[in-house]
Parts: sequence; structure tokens; C-alpha cells
Amino acid sequence: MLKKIFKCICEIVIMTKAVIIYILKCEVFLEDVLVQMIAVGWKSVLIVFLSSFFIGMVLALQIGYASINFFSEPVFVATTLGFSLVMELSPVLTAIIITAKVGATITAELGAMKITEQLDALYTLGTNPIKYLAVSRFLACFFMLPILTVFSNVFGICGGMILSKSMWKITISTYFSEILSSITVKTFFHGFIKSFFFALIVVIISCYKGFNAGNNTKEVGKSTTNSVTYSMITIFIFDYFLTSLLVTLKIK
Amino acid sequence: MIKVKNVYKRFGIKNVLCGINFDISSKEIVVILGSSGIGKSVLLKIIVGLLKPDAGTVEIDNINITKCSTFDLQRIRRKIGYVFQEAALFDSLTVYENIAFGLKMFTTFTEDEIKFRVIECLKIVNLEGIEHLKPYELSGGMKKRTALARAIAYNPNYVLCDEPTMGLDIVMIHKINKLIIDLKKKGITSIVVTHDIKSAYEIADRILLLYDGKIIFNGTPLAIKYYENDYIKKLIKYSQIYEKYDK
Ligand SMILES: Nc1ncnc2c1ncn2[C@@H]1O[C@H](COP(=O)(O)OP(=O)(O)OP(=O)(O)O)[C@@H](O)[C@H]1O
Ligand SMILES: [Mg+2]
Repeated sequence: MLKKIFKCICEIVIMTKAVIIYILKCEVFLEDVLVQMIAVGWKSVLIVFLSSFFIGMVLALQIGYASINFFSEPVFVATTLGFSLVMELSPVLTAIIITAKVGATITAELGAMKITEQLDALYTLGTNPIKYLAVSRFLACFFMLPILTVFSNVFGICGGMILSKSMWKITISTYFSEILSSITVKTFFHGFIKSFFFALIVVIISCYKGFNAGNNTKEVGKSTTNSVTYSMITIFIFDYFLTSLLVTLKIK
Repeated sequence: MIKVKNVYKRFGIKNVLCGINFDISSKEIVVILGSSGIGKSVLLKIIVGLLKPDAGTVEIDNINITKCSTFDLQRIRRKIGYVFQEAALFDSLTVYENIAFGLKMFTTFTEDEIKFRVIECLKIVNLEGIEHLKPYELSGGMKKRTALARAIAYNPNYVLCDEPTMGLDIVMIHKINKLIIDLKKKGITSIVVTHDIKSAYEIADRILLLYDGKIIFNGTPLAIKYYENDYIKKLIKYSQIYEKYDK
């Protein structure tokens, strides 16, 4: 068991190293990167919008009720909502959405290519799966996930605004001035930096699981499920350590 | 020049190849025969470097591909066209992009030159006008011919075909056979795996018979007639290619 995990980690390190070397050597298929970016960004933006919008509303509702319990009126709604969204909820939520939507697709696609010998065909035609398939997916996820996280911040804040206005009668100008005072450059970067790491986690695990899917369709299915589960768990674990690190570095 | 020396390969407890030795000189068409599941595809994959042998070496143009740098391997791959048994076309790309793939990777052709070559290759395999189709829109035989076109597009020195005529009608088989012979005239060496002894007879300069993990016969198509082996006897009996000689 331990030996297996160690072997996995070694293979992941080797794969990631190869990807980074190709990127540094600029051996990148730009067209494919663009296609992948659209696949990652465009296809997830609606889900990110819906989930973040409603999370924003739910937060505003919860915080409002909680503060009524304590202070008998809804105070600090925008402040609390602002930093909890930007620092924690948006990056994690977006990463989970990308895991489910993009990570699963990557694993299933690469796995299917493996069992139909398309990965072998890449070798015979003068390239290799890491260079031709992994690099573009790495770049696409690495740049799109943070962008989607920023979108998610915006959508969530908008959701919170609508609820605060209709339910708690907080004016839009008060809401935004509160938001702006609660979100500093550092709070923003706290979440933004985390989203880059989450992107790497998702894409590394899903590519690795795809390339190492077994030799039949059932195994590809299993790999896909595993890729999603492992990505999510790894995201939560890393979230804790990254948060501790960033807080120690005073990026909060 | 391809030299296969003492190649061994096993999967789990199953010994598939147990000491394979043969040489292939340039401009030769070598056909590998053998019953289903005997290890022909495995042998071909070892020659092209997709599988590593457990022991033994494969030399192509004096480079040992079982342990050479990725740079050398890349140079060798430029010289080899490989047709997979199941075609292995890239299913997210069109037929055109599939055939252009090797050209983009291996050559410095311009877009126009690539286009010209792709159309030319499609014509060679009798598939004009399908360049915009995706692999799932093709029949089995069409896929196989597209794979062949993809393998020959960048003018390799060696063409390795895993059952190039599988699933084709007799007229098409004849056409593909003629294509392989034409390739030889252009100086291309071919290794062809087939179950069709008629084709083997039509194209082969030399036939290798794989049996029980070893090459038990290595000689001309005519010599195989006199070779004492059950499998060959049956093959010949059922396909009766020597009928016309016996008359
Ligand atoms: N990846 C693999 N894992 C385990 N066993 C394998 C693998 N690939 C091939 N084999 C075994 O090796 C043997 C040879 O397979 P191979 O595909 O070379 O047969 P073949 O001679 O090409 O047969 P056919 O004419 O039907 O294509 C088979 O018995 C198969 O069970
Ligand atoms: Mg085979």
C-alpha cells in the first residue's frame, strides 16, 4: 500500500516535471491550449454563475439571521459575506466545479484514448501524450480556474447584494462600501493564490489518472470516479495547509 | 536495416516471445504469419518501441531502440510508419487532420504542401473526398485505409502494418497489396502482419512464421510450401493458393 502510494507520487512528479520542461521549452500547441481554455472556461461559467450566485444569497440570508439573533438587526452582512466568499468559498467551490466538470472529462478522455491505442499512436507519429495532451490541459486549467474564481467572487457578491436589498433592506451603496472595506488586496490574493494551486491539483490528478487508467472501459470509469474523489480530498487537505501558510505570510 | 536479436517478452506468467531473431534488409517486404494470439502485434510493437522487450535488442539503422536517447528515438520514429491493428485514429480529429498529423510533427511542410500530400495519400488508398469526416463516421475498412494513409504520409523508410487488409473486400485487398509493392519500388521496406496467405504470397519477398514464441520459418513464399508444419499445412489447404501450381 505505502509502496503503491510512493510509486504514484513518483510518477506524478515525473509527469509534472515533463510538463513543466515542455512549457519552459515553449513546445506548446497554442491552438490546443486555446481550445482547452474555451472548453474549461466557457463550459463551466454557467455552473459557476449559478452556484456562486445562490451561495451568495444563502450566505447573506444566514449571516442576516445570525446577526439578528445577536444584535437584533442585520449587521455585518456584506462584510462577513465579502471575505468568506473571496478568501474561502469561491476558490474551493470553483475548484470543486472544475473537478467534477473538467477533471472528470480529462480522465475519461485520456483513458478512452489509452484503450483505443491513440496514446501509442501519438508516439509513432513523433510526439507523446504529455507533450500533445497534458501540456495544453495544464495551461488551460492553470489560467482558467483563477479567472473563474474571480467570476465566482463577483457572482456571489451580486447574489448577496440582491438578497440583502430585498430581505434586509440594505441599500446597494451601503452594501458595496461595506464589501469594499472588507475585501483588501491581500484578502483577494489569499483566495486567488489558492485557486492556482487547486488548478494544479485538479489537472495533475486527472491527467495522471487518465494516462494510468486500466485497459478496459470499466477501469476507465473507475479511474474517472477516483480522479474526482482524489482531487476533491486533495483540494480540501491542501486548502487547510495553504490557508495556514498564507495566514502565516500575512496574506489575509 | 532492422535487426531483431534474441527478443523475449512475457505478460504475467505467459511467455509470448521466447528468443526472436531475424534481420530485414532494406527494400524488402517481409510478411509475418502466425495464428491468432501468438504475439505478432506484440512483436511489431516491440520493433517500433511501443513495448519494451524483457530481454534482447532491436536495432534500426544501427541504433538500438531498446535503449537509446529520446532524440534518437524521435529520429527513428520519423523513419517508421505504423498501422495499428485497430487503426487507432484520433477520434477528435477529422480524417484530414489525422493524416496531416505526422506531416506537422515530422516535416516543415507549409499548409499548402500538407494539403497536397493529404489529398494525394487519400487518393492512394482510394478514399478521395472524405477528409472532413470524423473517424466514427467511417466503416472499419475505411478506418484501416485512413490509418495506412496516415502512416505513409510523411514518406517513412519503413512501414509496419498490423493486418492492413483486415476487413476489406478482395478487390480492395488487391489494391492495398499493390500499394505495398509500389512502396517497395520507391525504396520503402515493409513488415506486414497478415492472416491472409494469399496476400502474403502476393507481396512477400520473405515470410516469417511465428509459432510458440519463436520464428520457426524464415524463407521465401515458395519454400514455405514444403515446410512441415501443421498450421502452415492447414493454411495452405484451406486457402488453396497452390492450386494453380498443382494443376
Ligand atoms: N497488454 C497485454 N497484457 C497482457 N497480455 C497481453 C497484452 N498484449 C498482448 N497480450 C498477450 O500476448 C499474446 C499475443 O498477443 P498479440 O496481440 O500479439 O496477438 P496477435 O498474434 O497479434 O493476434 P491476432 O492475430 O489475433 O491479432 C496474446 O495471447 C495476449 O493474451
Ligand atoms: Mg494482432
